[in-house]
Amino acid sequence: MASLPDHLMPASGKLPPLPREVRIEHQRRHVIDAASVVFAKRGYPGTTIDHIVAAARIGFASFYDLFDGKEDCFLQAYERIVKRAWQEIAAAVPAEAPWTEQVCAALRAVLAAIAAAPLEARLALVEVQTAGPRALARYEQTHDALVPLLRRGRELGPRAAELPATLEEATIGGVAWLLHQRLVMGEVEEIEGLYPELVEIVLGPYLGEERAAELAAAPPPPA
Amino acid sequence: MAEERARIAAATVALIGSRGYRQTSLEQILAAAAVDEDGFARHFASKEECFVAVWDELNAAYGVLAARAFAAAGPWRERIRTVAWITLDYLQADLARTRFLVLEVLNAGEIAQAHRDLAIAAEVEMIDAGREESTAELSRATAEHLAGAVNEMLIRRARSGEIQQGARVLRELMYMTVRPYLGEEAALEELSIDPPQRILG
Repeated sequence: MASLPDHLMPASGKLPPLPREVRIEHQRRHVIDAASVVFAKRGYPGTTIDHIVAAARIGFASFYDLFDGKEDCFLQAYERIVKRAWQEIAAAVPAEAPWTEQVCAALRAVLAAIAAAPLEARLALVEVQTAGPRALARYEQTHDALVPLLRRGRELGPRAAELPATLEEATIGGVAWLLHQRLVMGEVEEIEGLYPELVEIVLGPYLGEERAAELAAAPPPPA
Repeated sequence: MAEERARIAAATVALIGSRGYRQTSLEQILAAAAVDEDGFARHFASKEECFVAVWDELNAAYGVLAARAFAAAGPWRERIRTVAWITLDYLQADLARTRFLVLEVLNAGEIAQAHRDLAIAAEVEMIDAGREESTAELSRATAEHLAGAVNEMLIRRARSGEIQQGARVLRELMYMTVRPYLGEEAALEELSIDPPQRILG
């Protein structure tokens, strides 16, 4: 019987084990996945480390190898959700498009991301406010990162200099609240229906209410 | 009895408003109110229940001031502006109370938050009344957005203590509130309108 060429023969011995850091990162991802579901379903105050280790099927010692405690686990879950959301939104926003188109694309992407992953959205928009001062500070930093992107709209209007200094901060906070309420009320399936209203709310001060309403009614550009 | 309950309520607001809900133990509240466990149990079943009851009372007291101002005669824009100044006045008067109402309610569990959401729904109603004087076609989401914006701004400023410099932000929020209903010109006027000259309460 002809034997297989050397490169197709089974390797002698076992595969070398994955490096420790790789295994730890793998485990961390696994625990964060499980913990995110628990936090979103039970709320931050109602979640215990018992719940998390049971959901992730790991021991307490393994949990504490990865996290300092419940708050740290929550913060890491929050970071991962926000990072992923930024990537999804960045991928959906055409880099060369005019600012107004970018805002519309970003709003569509935010709503689509919430509809696709409502539990993660609940953690990042609802529970984050209940998870203590560090989480609240991180939530505010996420808003702060959006302010300069929105502020670029001031370059468009002739009366931009008259717009109040806190317009962007307040607009973003209000949008977060609208999304928060839909998540709390369990109205996630209809959340993408908010799109035209969000476009009018966000763009109105920069473009005027009439132009904002036109854009809100426009169909999405072909992909 | 009533006096004992009032001592517990005052201690709850002062301690939780300065240290935070999670950092305040029931023992600390008992010590500050000079009551024992039995005394506390005559009025409340738990720290959470106590928080919610006291929060409701403060919110009701503020709500009466706001509702009375809003029910007065006059255009929507003036009534909503008066409510805004009354609110700022109330929040500036006692920072621990403000943190208790605006910030610590986030940490005090689901029931507290449900009550907070109802209070914001009352603000939405007042803002949404702007539609009656508006020619624009607006949905309720506009008012929801504005009430949410006010609340998120308050949370931040309660955290940082900047509520004491709230007059400028109040005018800017009035700009945002008036703009969708009455247009840009009316909104711009809001940036320089002084507080109403009226005796509060």
